[in-house]
Order: sequence, then C-alpha cells, then structure tokens
Amino acid sequence: MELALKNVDVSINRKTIVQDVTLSVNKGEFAGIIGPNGSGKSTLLRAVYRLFKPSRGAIFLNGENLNRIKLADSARKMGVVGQFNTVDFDFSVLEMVLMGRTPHKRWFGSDTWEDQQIALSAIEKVGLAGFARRSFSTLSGGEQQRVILARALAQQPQILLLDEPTNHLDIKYQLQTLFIVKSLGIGVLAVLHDLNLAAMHCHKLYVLKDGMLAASGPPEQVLTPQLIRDVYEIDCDIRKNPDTGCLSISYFHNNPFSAGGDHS
Amino acid sequence: MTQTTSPLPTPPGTVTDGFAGRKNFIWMLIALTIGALLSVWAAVCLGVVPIAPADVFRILVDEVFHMDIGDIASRIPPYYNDIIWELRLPRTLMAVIAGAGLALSGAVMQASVQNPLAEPYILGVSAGAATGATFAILIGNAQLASGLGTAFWAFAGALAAAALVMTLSGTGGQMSTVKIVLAGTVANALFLGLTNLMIYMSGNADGIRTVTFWTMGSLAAAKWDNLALPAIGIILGSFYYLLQPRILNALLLGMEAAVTLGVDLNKVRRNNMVITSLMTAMIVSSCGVFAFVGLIIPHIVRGLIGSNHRRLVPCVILAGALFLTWADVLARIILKSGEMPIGVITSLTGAPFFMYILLKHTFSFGNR
Repeated sequence: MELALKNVDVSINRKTIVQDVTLSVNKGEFAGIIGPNGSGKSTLLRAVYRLFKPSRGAIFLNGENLNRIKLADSARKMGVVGQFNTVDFDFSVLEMVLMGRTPHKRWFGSDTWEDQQIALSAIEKVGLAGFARRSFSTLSGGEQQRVILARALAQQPQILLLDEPTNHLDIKYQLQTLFIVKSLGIGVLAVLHDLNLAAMHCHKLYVLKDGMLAASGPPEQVLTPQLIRDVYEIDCDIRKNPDTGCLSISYFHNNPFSAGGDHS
Repeated sequence: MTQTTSPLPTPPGTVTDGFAGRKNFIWMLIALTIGALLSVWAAVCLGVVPIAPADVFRILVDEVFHMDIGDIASRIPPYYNDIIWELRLPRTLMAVIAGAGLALSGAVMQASVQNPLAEPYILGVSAGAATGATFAILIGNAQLASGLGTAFWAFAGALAAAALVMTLSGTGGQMSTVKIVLAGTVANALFLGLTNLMIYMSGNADGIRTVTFWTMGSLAAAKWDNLALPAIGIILGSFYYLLQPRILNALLLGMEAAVTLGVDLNKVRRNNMVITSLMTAMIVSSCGVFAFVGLIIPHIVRGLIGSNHRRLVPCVILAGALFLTWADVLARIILKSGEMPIGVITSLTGAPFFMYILLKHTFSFGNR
C-alpha cells in the first residue's frame, strides 16, 4: 500500500492553507510531518483522510485517485487517530474499539466472534487489557487516546494516519504508541510535535512552514540547526547520542522573542 | 469494576460487547415487550365505560375470527363491540404507532446532529408538518385533504422545517445546544405563524375547529382506515433503523470519526432528516403534534442501557409506544366532562424534563 500526494493545495473558505505539497509513504515506512503551529500539518492530514478535498493536485492510494474511491472502501485501508475526540456519549471501551470494524461490515452486519477477537487484541496491544468493560467517558485523556488508537488498529488498515498521537500521553506511552505503530509494518504518516521523537522514529520527515514544504528527507539530513532556526525561529544543538544512537536536539536557553527578532 | 486479567477467552458464538448494561438490556427488552402488550390490553379496557378484560377478549375474538365464545349477545351490550373495535382499539394502536415513531425519530435525530436535545418538536419539524397539513385541509380541495394528500403536504412542511433548521445551524460538525434551541425556536415560530395565518385567512369555521383540535394533538380521530398509512410508515422506519445501529453509533462519534470509519456524515444525516421528517409527518397528519416524546423517551432509555444503538433503538421504539398509550388513557379518563387533548399531557410531562436537562448542563448521551 502506497500513499502519494502530488502538488496538493488545500483551501478552507477560499483561504489556501496548504500549498503544493508532494509526498509519499510506502509500505513499512514511517513518515513524519513536522512544523510550527499553524503551518497546515493537521489540515494536510485531514485532506488525506478525506475531511477536506484538495483544491488542487491529487492524492493517490495505491496509484488510484482518492476522489474516485468510495469513502467506505478507503476507510478499509486507512486508519486514523485524529486530534479531536468528543467524549459526551457513553460507550464501553470494547464498543468503541468494535466501531473500528465498521468499514469491514455491511451496514446491517452484527459483530462476529472474530470481530471481537480483533478488537480485544487491539485493546491488549495498546496496554489496556482489562479495560474492555470500562466506560470510555470515565477514562483519562491518555487512556482515551489509546482507545482511539486501538480502534484504528481494529480497522486493520494498510496505512495509518496519526495527528499528534502522543499529545495526551506521558513519555512511557508516547514511546509505546510509536513502537506499536511501527511494529505493524504498514505505512504511517504522522503529524508530530516532538522533534526528538520524530528523529527517533521516522524514516523520513516532511517539514511544513506556512503551508509549504520547507524540507524533506531522512531525519539526519533534514534536522539541522539551520533549518530549525528558519522554521521554528529558535536556536538548537543537534548531535547523535552515542548511547541511544538517536539524534538528540537541545534548545538554547535564549529569549524566544528576541531570537525571533534577530532572524526576522 | 475492572478486571486485571485479559478478558480474551469467550466461547465462539457468544458475542458480548463488554458493556455492563447488556444484562439490563435483555431484561428491559422483555419487560417493555410484555408491558407494551399488557398496556394495549389495559388501554382498550379503560375509558368512560370500563369493560372487563375478559369481555374485551371475547369481543376481539368475535371481531377477528367471527367466533362467538361465551355467548356474547346475551352477556355484553352490542354497542360494546363498537366501542372496542371501532373506537378504542384503533385509537390505542395509533398511540402505539405515534409513540414509537416519535421516540425513534428523536433518537435518530439526536445521533444525526450529535445532540441529545434534537427531536421533531424542538427542531420545529412537527410544526412544519402541521403547517403542511393545515394547508391541505384549509386551502387544498377535497382531494388534497384525503389521508394521503394531507400526509404529503405534512411531509413537504416537515422537510421545509428540517431544511431550515439544518441551514440555520450550519452544516458539518456537531450541532451545539444553543444552535439547536435557537434554530428550533425560529422554525417553530415561523411555521406556527404560517399555520395561524392560514387559519385566520380561511374563515372556514368547520376547518378551524378541526385544525385547532389536532394542533393540540388528539387520537380521537383514529380509525382503521387512517391507521394504515402511519402504521406501514413507522413499521418500515423501525426496521430500517433496527438494521443500522452501526451507522447510528458512528454518527454519534462526530464528523471526523465518522468519516474515518467510512461513514459519509453529511449524506447519512440528510437521509436521516428526510426519513424522520416522513415519519413525523405521517404522525402529525393523522393525530397532530405531540411535544417532547422524542426527547423524554430516548433520554430515559439511554440512562438505563447506554448509548449503543444496537440496544437503544429497540428499547426506544417499545418505550415510546408504552408512553403514548398511557398518555392517551390518561387523556381519556382524567376529565369527568370529556376528553383532554393528549398534547397537553405530553407537554406537561415533557417541559419539566426539558428544563431538567438544560439545568443539569450535561448535554450528554447517557451519563451514569
């Protein structure tokens, strides 16, 4: 399964939020989208999961234009962990996760034993075994986020889209979530905030600034002090940690306001 | 309580969704089914002239199978047959159909706009249907005022109201409580105004009396021949929604989640508004506006068994039928001098309920 975006623009209310983005995610590849707030990361991802239509360019799923694929068919291939999850309803964790089976079922089909096993193993995978009977609305933000991940896993997607999947999680579950996602061996396109996590997990990075691609490539090439100063307007030090083998980004303790002034 | 062990081993064939309300659900379904059947029975017995349950049974057997058991002619006055067969039974069945249809419409509208305050009356869909029906009766000719003609115009009115409300409150995501209440108020005011305008312009005294009678809601006009259309409509609607709890559940999760699960929220929402408008129109055109049934019933049922539409839809249908059956019994026997419009009873029970939900500030789907 391959996802490809070709020269995609996304406009909301005639305002262009994302401009001329070309990217691709192959099977087994973990691609990250990074960039400051308001750079259009989430909007771009939403266009991929079909909340918005690209105003220019096209998105291809395995070579087929997404506009020509039925919504239910693309939902069988794409799992999504979105940023906003309303909680004003009362479902059990298992019920929530079973909803991930929706695109695989006829509209009148009921959940089979197999569906239930898929859902339960997804719940176990995200470390919530024993929570199946709990009411979703009583869980903490982080637990809810893992339930949503379990729902996306129960969808058995061939590509997974994540919008800041770690933003409610403490560090253990941040690492665990990305590890689980990576272990699936499917293509992943994730919007990430934490540059260290992005450097650790992503095979390639796409850097967005003001809706346009500022850089793309493997983390070692993309993440340079120069680029981070250009995009985020802060100074940092980047070096390979000899013990973990990962890139480690440390930010200088300077006043961000004056730093922004220096570089503008 | 939570389990600490893995909940995996479940024998094949038994599918549970891990919800504590499941046991409640089975009992509730049994209780509601028996309750609804017994209530219909009781409703037929009760009235200005109480008739013994055994005699009701004899009369029904006589009417249905033309089989005379227990020598009806000598024991029961002949007009009892008419009371039971021509008046009370069709009327009670109409209450069952209207209650089921309104409660179901409420539950479906609530899932479609992700707000538990949505229902035919609050959204002004009932008022739109009433305007359409008034038009058919007062302005239209005799042909329009036939059962089907009235229902058609009521449907047109209901659709217009639904379209207005959806436009006012904006398409897309979740509909906020403020938007729902405001848009519903606008639609209610507009369509009530139109109805009154037609009434005053027509100057047709007879028509005016008919119209006022059913804008307050009444089952008194229920007969076998005007029962057929709403019965077929509501039964079809019930089957339709019993078969798609999955879609209704996905809607409840909101725009983003529904789309990622392959459910086109805008399209499904539009379909649901059309189908619930149709059900509401059939009910309004044959027995008038009953306020709040679609609010009270889903709210109570959700509190007992949770938000999953697999359980919610059957229970809401049965509970709605039960509720309106007893509301009608009350309407018939509460006044010595005559009959109270049933709309008075649903409004007087529903309005405090509406206040209670608003005051609690938890506009949520079942919060236990």
